[in-house]
Amino acid sequence: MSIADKITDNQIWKSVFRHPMPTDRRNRVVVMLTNFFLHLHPVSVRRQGIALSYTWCMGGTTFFLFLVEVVTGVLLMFYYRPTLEHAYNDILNLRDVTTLGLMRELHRWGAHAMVIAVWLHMYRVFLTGSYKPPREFNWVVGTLLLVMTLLLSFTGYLLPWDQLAIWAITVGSNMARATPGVGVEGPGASLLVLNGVPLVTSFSDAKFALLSGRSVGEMTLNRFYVLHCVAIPLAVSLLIMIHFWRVRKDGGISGPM
Amino acid sequence: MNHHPDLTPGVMAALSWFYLFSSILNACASAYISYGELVSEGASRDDLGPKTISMPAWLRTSTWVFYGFGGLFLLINIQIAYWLLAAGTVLLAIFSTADAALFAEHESHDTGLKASLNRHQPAIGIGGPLSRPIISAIWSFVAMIFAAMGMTYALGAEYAMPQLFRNAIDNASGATSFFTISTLAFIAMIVYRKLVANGILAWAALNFSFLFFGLSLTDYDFRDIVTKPDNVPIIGLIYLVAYFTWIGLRRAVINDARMAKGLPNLEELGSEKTLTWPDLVYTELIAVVIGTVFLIVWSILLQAPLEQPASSTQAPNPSKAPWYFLGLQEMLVYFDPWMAGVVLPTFIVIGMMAMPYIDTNKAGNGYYTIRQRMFAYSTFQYGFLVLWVVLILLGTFLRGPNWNFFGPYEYWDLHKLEPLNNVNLSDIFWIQWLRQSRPSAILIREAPGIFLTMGYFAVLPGLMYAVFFKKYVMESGFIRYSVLAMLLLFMASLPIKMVLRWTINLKYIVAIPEYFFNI
Ligand code: HEM
Repeated sequence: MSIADKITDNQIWKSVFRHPMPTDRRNRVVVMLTNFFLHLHPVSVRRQGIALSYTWCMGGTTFFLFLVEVVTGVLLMFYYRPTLEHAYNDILNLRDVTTLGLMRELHRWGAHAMVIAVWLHMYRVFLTGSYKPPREFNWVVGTLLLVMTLLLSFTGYLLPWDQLAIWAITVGSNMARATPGVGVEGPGASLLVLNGVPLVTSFSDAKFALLSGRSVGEMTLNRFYVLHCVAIPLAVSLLIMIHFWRVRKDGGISGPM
Repeated sequence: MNHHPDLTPGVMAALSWFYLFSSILNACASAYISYGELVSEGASRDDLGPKTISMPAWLRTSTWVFYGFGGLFLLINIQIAYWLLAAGTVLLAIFSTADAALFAEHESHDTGLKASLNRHQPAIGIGGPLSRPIISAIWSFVAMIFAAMGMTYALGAEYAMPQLFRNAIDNASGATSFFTISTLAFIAMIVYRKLVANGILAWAALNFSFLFFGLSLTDYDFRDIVTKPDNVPIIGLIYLVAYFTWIGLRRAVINDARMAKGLPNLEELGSEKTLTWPDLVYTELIAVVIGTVFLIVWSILLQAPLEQPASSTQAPNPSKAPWYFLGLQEMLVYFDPWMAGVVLPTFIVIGMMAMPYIDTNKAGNGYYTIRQRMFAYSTFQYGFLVLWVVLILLGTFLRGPNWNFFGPYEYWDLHKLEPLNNVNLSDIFWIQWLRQSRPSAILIREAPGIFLTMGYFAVLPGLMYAVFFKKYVMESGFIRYSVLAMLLLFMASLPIKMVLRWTINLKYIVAIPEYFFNI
């Protein structure tokens, strides 16, 4: 009995993997149906639909990068405290003190790469006309994912709490001040007055809601931290599930009819 | 001492490797043309004969010896590794071309005909046959040049881009020329797409970009901006977007030519089913491995940026949003924040979501094509490439302190002054044309702009309907057309305001700062 057999020929192994190595046709089919992760995929696919020259592998790459972000992000959360006192130093220590201090690099470059990958994925879906019926709705879901990906990246940008971080967020969130109707410097806001009291002030406008303060401060850090680590990842996860489900239900990866 | 040196030992070492890398790419291209089977996309592999390779065995072996030892020495002594790899590359370039020629000779000798296999037949739609020996020779030659440039730096020659040249580029560049040239280049790409789709031209363009990039890196100011850690991904973005644009375009050109001949398009050729295990699962596995290695190497080579601790009183100049929003920040030059930061982004998102519902063209679903969806293809691509990516590049690399424009080799001078003499439409109308002071009532003062804006959104859709969209409205209905027209007009508003700014210094069409309402 070879070592490989010894490893696989027992109750524990067989309880995890129900079937032998998929080397014949039957097992190649069965493995796709009985493995939790693989059942994301159909049993067979159109050859053209999985060609690199067709999909550029960019949807899958985006998903891969999202998973990288989740794993490295959780590791970073073990060290990082989102307070004015600690945030910056924790990042410094992550770089200089922590064992395997590569997590921050992986997380940051992975995030940049994810933004690029999601754009390229959208670009490919457009160029192959894959948003056309019956895939209209999945394109809409995809657009939401695109927005969410940018927001993930944007909220994460603040967390190192260095000059780069707060000023980038300040520049970005200044726009909220100009939202029509609900930003103090937006058109129309000064018309919203009740009994002589203005409704939209710098303490109650869209920018305040975004930053939870009039300028970027500790409460902003907290708010962005929660958005970045909990709220948006949950939303993205849900949307990705819907997205993948719909890829299957809309007839698999597109191709000429 | 010069604190802004163009060349330092580190830069020269990096450049020598950069050119070696470019050289290797070209040597590989030459070898690929010479030995590769070169079955053009869509052609069948079946009736092609086997490809014989004949060359002095010692030559071939020694290449791999050089490469093998070169790879080994990467871990031991980087300089020795450099010269081994360079020698291997030169050899590879030489014998690739020699073999291509030899093979061509054999071919015509055997058949008595003009050789067929050495004449590479590109895919349908891409043009006539090409001579393998000649193309192979060209890339070998380019490989030699790059190798020589790399060796020059490795030997310590201090060659920097001539100042004259840098000044010329700096002077010629500006927000206006950058945007205009991008737009023209985009139009040319669509119009001359058959030429662009040709691999030879694309490869030549790639080589030019290497040369440009390598020369530019000898400039301190260029390097200073391009090598900021957060800007490095954008260099990757340029190459990726260019590559995928080209791939999409090429496949569309091939498909269009095939369909015009009644042949199935490339996607139809691969419509048979295959098992997910192993074909897709293994591809994914390999992709994951490559992705992981890539990220780890990148993370080891480049440290994530961390600047001084945050200070809410010392604003850096320029203050920039994260790079993916710099296109929006660039729009702030032409629009107020409520437009550039809120209304236009909202319209981008809504427009994208609406797209599948307003593009009612059934053709081009699930395969690359340009001809069958010219309007949708070029509009979206213009939006993505020029109005989004090009503006990001402009905002990242060419906007310095106070959001002033700086040429690629220009020092980011905090005190650069740009004359600001922009005027509002109301100034032009009342003061310049009617030669009277502006009325005090806001609505009257701004009446010209308000009429113009209302006209833009009310009259133009009718005009566009009459000229271009009659058929579309018949088929898709009035509601879809209204949405489409609105989206197009909002999209066009950006280039329109740019042109108005550049030509007549127009600041606002409607300016009601009293209510923060400026368009
Ligand atoms: C977090 C972001 C996203 C992830 C992880 C993701 C993932 C994927 C994957 C794995 C596929 C299978 C085919 C492929 O790889 O190309 C796919 C298909 C698709 N995606 Fe996405 N996607 C994302 C964002 C988007 C965006 C931004 C859009 C468009 C605006 C989009 C629209 C679509 C459509 C329409 C399909 C079906 C394409 C076809 O059948 O050819 N997705 N997505």
